[in-house]
Amino acid sequence: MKQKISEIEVNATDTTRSKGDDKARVYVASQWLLMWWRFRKHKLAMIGGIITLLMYFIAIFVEFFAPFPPDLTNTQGTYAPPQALVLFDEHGFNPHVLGYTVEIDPVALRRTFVVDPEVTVPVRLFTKGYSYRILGIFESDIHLIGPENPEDFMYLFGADRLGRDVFSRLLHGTRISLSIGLVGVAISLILGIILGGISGYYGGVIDNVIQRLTEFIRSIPTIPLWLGLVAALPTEWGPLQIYFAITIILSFIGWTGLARVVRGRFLTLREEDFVMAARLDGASQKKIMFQHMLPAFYSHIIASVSLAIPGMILAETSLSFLGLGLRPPIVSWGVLLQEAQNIRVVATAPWLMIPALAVVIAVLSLNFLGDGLRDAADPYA
Amino acid sequence: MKKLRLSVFVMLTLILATTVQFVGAQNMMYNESPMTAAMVEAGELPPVEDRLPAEPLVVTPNEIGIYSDPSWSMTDRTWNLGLRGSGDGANFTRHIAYEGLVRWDPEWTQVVPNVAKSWEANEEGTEYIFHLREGMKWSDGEPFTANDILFWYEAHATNTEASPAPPNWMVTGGEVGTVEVIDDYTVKFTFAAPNGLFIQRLATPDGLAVLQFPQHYAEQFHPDYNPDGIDALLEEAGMDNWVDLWTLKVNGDGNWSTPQPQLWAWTLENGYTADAVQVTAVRNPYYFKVDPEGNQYPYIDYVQWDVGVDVETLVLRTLNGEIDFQDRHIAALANKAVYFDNQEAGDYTFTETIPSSMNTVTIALNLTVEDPVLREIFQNHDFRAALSVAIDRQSIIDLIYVGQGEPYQLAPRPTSPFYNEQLAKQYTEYDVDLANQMLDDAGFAEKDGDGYRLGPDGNRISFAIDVIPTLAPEQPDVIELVVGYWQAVGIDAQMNVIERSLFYERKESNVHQAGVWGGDGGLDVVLEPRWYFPYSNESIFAELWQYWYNGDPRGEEPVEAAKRQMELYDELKATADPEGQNALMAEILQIAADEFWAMGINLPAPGYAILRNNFKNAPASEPNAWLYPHPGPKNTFTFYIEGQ
Amino acid sequence: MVQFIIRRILVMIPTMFAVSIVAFIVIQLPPGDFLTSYVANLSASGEQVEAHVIEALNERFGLDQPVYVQYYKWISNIIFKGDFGQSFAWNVPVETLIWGRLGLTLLISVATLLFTWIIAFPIGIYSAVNKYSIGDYIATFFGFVGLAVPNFLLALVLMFIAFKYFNQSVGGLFSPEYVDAAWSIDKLLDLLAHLWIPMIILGTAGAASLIRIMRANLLDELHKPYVRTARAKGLPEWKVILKYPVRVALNPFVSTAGWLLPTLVSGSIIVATVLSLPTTGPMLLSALTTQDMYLAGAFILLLSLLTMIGTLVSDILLAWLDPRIRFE
Repeated sequence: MKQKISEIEVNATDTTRSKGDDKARVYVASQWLLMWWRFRKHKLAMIGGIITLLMYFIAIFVEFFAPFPPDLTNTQGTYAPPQALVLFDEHGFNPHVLGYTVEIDPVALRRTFVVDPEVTVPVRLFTKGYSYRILGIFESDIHLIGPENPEDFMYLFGADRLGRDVFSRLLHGTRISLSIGLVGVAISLILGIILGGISGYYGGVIDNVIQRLTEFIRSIPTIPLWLGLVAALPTEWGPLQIYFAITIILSFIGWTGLARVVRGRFLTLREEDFVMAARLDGASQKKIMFQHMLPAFYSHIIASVSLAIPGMILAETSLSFLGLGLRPPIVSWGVLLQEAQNIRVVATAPWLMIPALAVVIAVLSLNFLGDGLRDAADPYA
Repeated sequence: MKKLRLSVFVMLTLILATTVQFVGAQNMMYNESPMTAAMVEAGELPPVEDRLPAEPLVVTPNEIGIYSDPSWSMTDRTWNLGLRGSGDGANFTRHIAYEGLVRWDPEWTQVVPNVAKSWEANEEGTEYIFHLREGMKWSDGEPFTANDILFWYEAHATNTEASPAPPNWMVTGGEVGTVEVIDDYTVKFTFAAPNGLFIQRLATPDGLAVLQFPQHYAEQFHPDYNPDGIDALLEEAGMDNWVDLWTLKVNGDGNWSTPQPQLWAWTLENGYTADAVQVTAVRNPYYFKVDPEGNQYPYIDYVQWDVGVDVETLVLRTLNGEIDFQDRHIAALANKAVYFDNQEAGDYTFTETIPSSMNTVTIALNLTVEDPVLREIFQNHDFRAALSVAIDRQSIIDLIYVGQGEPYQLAPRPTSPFYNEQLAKQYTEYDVDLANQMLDDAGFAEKDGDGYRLGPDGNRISFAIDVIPTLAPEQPDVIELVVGYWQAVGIDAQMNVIERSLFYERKESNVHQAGVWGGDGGLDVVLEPRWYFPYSNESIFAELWQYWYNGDPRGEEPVEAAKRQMELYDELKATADPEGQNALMAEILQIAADEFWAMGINLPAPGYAILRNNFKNAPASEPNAWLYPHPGPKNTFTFYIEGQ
Repeated sequence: MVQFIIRRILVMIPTMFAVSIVAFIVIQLPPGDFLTSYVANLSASGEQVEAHVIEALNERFGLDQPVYVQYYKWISNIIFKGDFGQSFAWNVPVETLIWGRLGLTLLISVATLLFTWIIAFPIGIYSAVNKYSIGDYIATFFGFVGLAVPNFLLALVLMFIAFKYFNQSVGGLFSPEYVDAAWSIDKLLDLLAHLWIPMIILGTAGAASLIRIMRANLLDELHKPYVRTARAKGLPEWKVILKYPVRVALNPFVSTAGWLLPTLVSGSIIVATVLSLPTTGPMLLSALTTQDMYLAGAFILLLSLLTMIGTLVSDILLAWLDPRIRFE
């Protein structure tokens, strides 16, 4: 117990525990450095942060990581189980997957897959596959991992009902799902900061009006709102336009939460001395708000943002469940989960539920990251 | 000598058999179920001879069954089924409510007597007389007479408040037919013009409404028959429009929210309402059918539906053996694999359903599309033929239908007497070169920079295909592949996955450029010709033409070939004899073959139903259709359970 | 205080009007209406409805009138006659439908809420006290997993597990043989056997945010001087934590309890649909998808009203519980 006490004591003012010339270092360290030191303590948040960065990295360079395009069908591979990657055999280091003998079972209406040790599909790293553009600019056809012969198939995570590679689809889905989260939250953020800031800074009638507006929006149940808005999207729009429309619809609901946080902060900061000083200095309202007050709680914003992204990701999956989600050929985690939402998959093709794992990892990582950021948010508090 | 003796012997046996049948039906000793027998003992019911009509309908089952025994568990005394959400009223129609004046025979080859013990029609087909059964009663013991049919006609079908329009099978020559009561057990339908399909229509679910208005029960809810008491009833229900109350309380056109007297084998104990998690139907002690040994039907005491909102719940319940015999909702293509693995544990097996549908995917280019350029392109026969040839049907079959079914166009199924080879098989081969050749020859040889063909106005040929994901989940997958094939020959087609209601709206307003549906009318060719000529609003390949045919002001005059088909069908409707009808239908089909209105992908392979191993007399194979509302016509009242 | 409440209630009236307009628009936005949905539904199952039946329904429902006429009819019926209309699908007044399911929904919601609190509080407290320890990490991890897993898939998987490994009859609240049976121990056990799935899913999902709030609040409190004083006084550690800091940390929960009101009534829509629970959630969803106008409209109005009442209650509680706010 005694140890606990001292830990708590020390953690309360933990800046004193930094190495080296303690006090001096702390006083001259920038706000961000202090944040970093505090953040480091939260191990779970560190892990979350690393995983998040990794996922976004993959999302940017998806085509490199994915051996196949997401819509490549294979008649012989419908519902193929995952193939284990074997690294060593009698020839030494020879990564390959074992092939299948495929038969149609006309009674049970499915293809049966029996592992055939005779058939080996050699697998290589940095191999040639389908061509793509990195960042939309540079052409390439190198993939991190793939079958040596590009005509072969390799199902690391199994295949879906059309013989498409789940692993590739999962990776492609990462890009869409994570970017919806980011873009959606960005929009919410802008709306939230502007409206929340105005509300908090000016107070009075403006505050009241904006408050009632947020309350009004919050009181409309979300699912009916989604159903109505998404169902009203013109059918002529292409998948990409639908994607943006859905992002905007999702962020429409999310901004109220951020607005509240921002407003609260502005209300407290309004009374601070530095604000009065800026006003006396002749700075315009806008300058005071955005150049002086806002930076005071960047950290809080960052924390709120990283906590809002998982909400968006989950909302997108819910939309897909309701049948309102993205349309083919766009692949997202929500779309993949929707395809897995039946007993056929749960009972006989459980590998199609792997995207749920991806969602879990993403949501957890972002949540822990956000928690850590929030803990570290106010190093002067 | 031997031959003569043999034939005499056969003759005598036949005479004897029919006499026994006839006489036996009159003087048979009737048996009843233990459930009703107990009630007779307790004085709650009259004995079975008094409950049956003088001439009950004798129906021969696959095998004589056994009655549910009161000592069995409820599960064993019940035919367990699954209901899905709201709007699943057809579930009742199919399983217990199929009791019209006439019915289809189980093989779906002809119409046979049901509630009516016989009928006559005059030569022109303008007068039909039905003979009802003396002594037949509703499920509450009240007599069933021709007056109940007259009541349906006067209080509902021709009452403009309850029915703004009369049933279309009652209308010929622009006039509604009339119903006349000759005596208690004889009723006559008279039409201004010949009504050739009348009897057949009565055998479909459309004809069930006629017998769902028991006067002694329903008249209290009708202002014409209960002018004094109706207001009190309305107030009690919290309504101000009598039609609202009428719809709630009287099953009529298919509202099952309030149990009422019926002629069915089982009647509802509780209604199909919003808070019902379970709907139960109990044996009707006054049911008018017996088996050849005099046992009053049905064998099973109860029918029970558990309501599930999500289809996967129903699937799980099926796996758990909680469904006795059903294909509705649960028997999707994709689920068979799961059911297969679980057969032993669930103690069930599969039966076969023969689709009445003749195609898994129908692709209809809208020949009456608003855009005149597209219209010109779509109406070009060779354009459509080329597009059809550009599709690799076998690949689609292998990928999506696990190799089941053969490439097929929109034509009657091979087993149908109307099978037309040309209509069924033309343009089903896969030949990209031929497709390109045909498109070039048809005048679409010019291409733009991206390789897409140009139309007559010099612009790229581009259109969207509407498809819904809920008719058959595989359809969007198929269309995605089709779009790929068409893009490969230079046609810029796109897929438009939309929701059911929107699809419906778009086709009603003729906004769609191309649409996808299923191939109804594979076996019920004469009654469901929507894909053979512009017949109904389901003929999505030519909405404006079908509007014209049906007298809707939105319509446009069709091309000659379609008009010819419409004339032929009108002639068919006015023809009373089946031979004449069939000949006309064959002509219509030949024109459809020559015109090639729309295309299909493949013939649906047989489906399946789940059958528990202790559930007997169920059909090993049945047609899957609506106009033949399976399993109804397979005589569901003859099913029985081997309980413990 | 009273002025404050009255003012808020007055503001609610125009807000409700605005909500009713939005609700109506939202219901009408999807193309078509109840009838097209109904016919399309049947058509997709291979069944047909006869044209004259559709005509009759069209007249009764008045769906071909312009939107603003329909809206006016609806809103005036509510205000002047207290009549929320009839459900197209079920032909009964919508009040009976909603009322009928309300009891059960509340029961499940409250049970789930209690379950959530039982999970969240201990984890939150433990996590705050043992900040950055392994125990903290493990506890928070489990607390958050519930939030991260997509609920609809989890519901399906749990149902499958219940069927496959526990041989349960799944879906709904009772197995078929117990639906109509009289209450008994067996029936109670059957109910529990069906309840565990929604409670786990919904309970764990809700726990995450509670844990986070609890942890943050408690951490704030634990750094305050009075805690140090209590410890110096020689109180046992558990008393130090539980006697005051936890009670203060609970403050926001009680005050934000008002927000829970609408969720208590609607239950969880998606999970309840997957599990076929006879609660209000699936009814709302099906009303929306089939465009059962009056039922959906009444639901949305109800939920919005509850949200606003809930906010008001929360604000009142907040002011009442924390005198500092009152005297600001």
